[in-house]
Amino acid sequence: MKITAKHGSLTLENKGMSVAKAETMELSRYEQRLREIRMMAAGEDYSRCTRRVIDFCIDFSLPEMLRQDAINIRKQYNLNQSSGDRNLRFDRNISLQLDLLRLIDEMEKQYAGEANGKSETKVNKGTGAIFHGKDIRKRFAGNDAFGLEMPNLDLLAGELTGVVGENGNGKTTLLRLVAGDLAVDSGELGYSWLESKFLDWPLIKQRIAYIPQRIPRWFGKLRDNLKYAATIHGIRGQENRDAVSLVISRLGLSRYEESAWDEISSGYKLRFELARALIWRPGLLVLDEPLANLDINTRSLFLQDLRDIASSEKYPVAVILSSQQLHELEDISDNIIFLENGKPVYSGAVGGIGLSRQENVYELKSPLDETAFRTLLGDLEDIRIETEGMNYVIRCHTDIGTNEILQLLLERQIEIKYFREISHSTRKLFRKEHA
Amino acid sequence: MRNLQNLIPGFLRKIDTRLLEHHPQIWVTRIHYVAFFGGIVAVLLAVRSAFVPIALSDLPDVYVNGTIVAIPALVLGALWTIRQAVFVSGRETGMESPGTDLMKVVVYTGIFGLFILITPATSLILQTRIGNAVSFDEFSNDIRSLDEGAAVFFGAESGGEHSYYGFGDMLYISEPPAIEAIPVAGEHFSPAEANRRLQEFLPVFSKYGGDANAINSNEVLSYYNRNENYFMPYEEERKVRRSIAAISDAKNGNSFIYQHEAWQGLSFVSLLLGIAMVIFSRVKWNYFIVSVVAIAIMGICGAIAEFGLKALTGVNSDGQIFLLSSFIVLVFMGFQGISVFSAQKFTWIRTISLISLNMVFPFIPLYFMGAMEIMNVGGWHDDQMWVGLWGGVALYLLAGVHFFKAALTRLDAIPK
Repeated sequence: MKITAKHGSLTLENKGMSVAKAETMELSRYEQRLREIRMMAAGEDYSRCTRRVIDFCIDFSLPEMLRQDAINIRKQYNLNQSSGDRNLRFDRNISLQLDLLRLIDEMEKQYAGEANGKSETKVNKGTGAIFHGKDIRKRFAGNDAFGLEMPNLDLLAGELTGVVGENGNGKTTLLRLVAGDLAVDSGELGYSWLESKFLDWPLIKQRIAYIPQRIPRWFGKLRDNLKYAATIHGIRGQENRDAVSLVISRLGLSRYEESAWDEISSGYKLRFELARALIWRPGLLVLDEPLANLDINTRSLFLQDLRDIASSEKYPVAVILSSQQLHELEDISDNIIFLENGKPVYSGAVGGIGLSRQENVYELKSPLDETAFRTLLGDLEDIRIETEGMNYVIRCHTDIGTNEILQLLLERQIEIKYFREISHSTRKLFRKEHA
Repeated sequence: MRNLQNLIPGFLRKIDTRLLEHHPQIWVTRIHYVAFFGGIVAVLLAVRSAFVPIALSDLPDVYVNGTIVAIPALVLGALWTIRQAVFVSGRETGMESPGTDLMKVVVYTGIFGLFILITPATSLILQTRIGNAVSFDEFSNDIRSLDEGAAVFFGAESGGEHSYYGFGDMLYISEPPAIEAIPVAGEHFSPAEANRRLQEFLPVFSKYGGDANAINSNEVLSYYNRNENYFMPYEEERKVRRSIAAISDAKNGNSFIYQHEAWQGLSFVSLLLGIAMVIFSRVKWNYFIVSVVAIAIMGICGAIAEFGLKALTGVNSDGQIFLLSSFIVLVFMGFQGISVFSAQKFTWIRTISLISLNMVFPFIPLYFMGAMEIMNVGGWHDDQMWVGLWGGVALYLLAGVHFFKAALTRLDAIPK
């Protein structure tokens, strides 16, 4: 078989990104971000555009007037979305686009008006570990005692670290140890805001936002709870009102700001938790299975928000989260930790997975039964076929790329319902016998 | 709940917003709502108490009236306490400054004061009106008539050890102008004198709620002349004694809220709240269990010492051994608190916080003391009661403040 580009469309995408990157090298971050926002507005992606406008206001400390405009436009967008009338929504979106473009022009003027005097906000991504752990060990008592061992763990500002693994392999334990919800048996823990090595937990927890899988109930109105969260962290008066309005608009909570706990859905409860955590700008955000109760659209939106928020230019956050949504998590994470029996099988950059692999692995779903599937592909010596649940896994030499496999499947007239290359995913680390 | 929110006046909403945005530590106490609505309730109860009809023959029961409003006050207090557990800022922000602590002490004191106010709003006013329902001189004369008349019922035979408690014996009034209880037993006077006393007795007996028609005066005199006892109708006698006692209490200022039984009840409630807080706050159970076991041991030791002293010497310590034991518990708890914090950076304020947390528990020995008094083994003199009560209240307030801070905040911050 002919050897082609290694990762198919992924390579193309990377190429596309690198071209765009080269073009924007000369632009400041302010200009780059504005250009992105303008493109989103032009592409009628109002959801993301209105959110990024608010992020922009926060990151570049825009004047009150522009911030208020951004909030109003975001509110307008949310209002449009709740309208059941498609025609009305279309008309309103035209008006929204005009407002957005006008606001972007104003932002540009603001930049030009300051004659390049606007100091560039430093991107802190990767500049220092917010959390550093070494030789962390935790063992639970009992006959079937489970233990976690983590030789090394660094969480950097602006980076997302995903924790994956099968159930009962230590994901939650690791997150609780990092968040200070569980004590380590041995090992070193370090938090960047501590001046000494002494673990002063009250001080440590002042900068950690921990969102457990089961969200604790809160009382009173959503807006009051956000205000309270901000006030107790020293954000008071007008600043408090601004911060609450911004975060409510940013996370699409406007419709629920007067609502109580039992009046909002699980997805919005999670959004509220995120809002409450982010309003006081924590250094470290720990989320345990946040995607568990979200539908596919909300999940995607939530992860996108998390990515944007983590890599904020002004307030970058180190984020660590666990999830069973493997592929989605890998798409947004900078680093990934795969835990098996309490030990990291892989811990490092997402891009590093499978670099030294011996084979390519593809996961696919077909309506054919196993016998028929194997019969159609069984004559090929270079290919191994396994079944994992409802899926088939094809293992082959690294020379056989995605295109070749797809071509082969087409030639043999094998109907495919789903196909994914998992050579660079922790998916291949999940063991069949545990599935 | 939404409808209830419409009852909140605009100015109170503004205060609420202001506190929420600037002073979250005060906002969580909801003192503005407690002050406003607690004040309204107190005024309404006071007005009600001012218009309850007062008849000497059928006096309202202050204890019952007080208890009826004390129960909802305690329920509200408990709900308020739970709300404090819901909004624990320290869980996220860590220890506050001593200034903030001090401010909270003041605010919490005010809150407790407001809750406590609800009860006297009823009982104090009612009691004052009962006390003023009859003048001091009139009451004094009535007591004299009742006591003198009571002697007729017993005749000469009722002297010596066979004593009878006259109505005046129920009086606490001993300071000037004094009402002296007239010795009932052991006297003998002429039939004419007996008749005069009886004729004065019956209208007063009727005035304070007794049914004079249930007493046949000829029969009473006949018994007297034969040196035999005439038994007063029990229920009628009880009614009169209750009226006399109620007026006596009122005139002595023995308000319902000063009765230590109420505070013992409060201590019991505080224990229940403590358990609730432990559940809510995920405070380590072993810590709580050790505390209770320590208190129980000290309580039992105190009881043995108290009974032992009484058995050996016949002297009552009046509960002072119990007070001592409660302070020993306090010290013990303090050391325990320090050990809990040993995993943490040592600061005095943290240590004091945890010691204060334990100050709720010494109320339990005070509860034992009440039982001792009932068994006539120990008991409180008035001055001890005052010291004990207000000392206990002060401890309770301190504990109330630091309970949330120490139990919910600090222990929550320590990884499990």
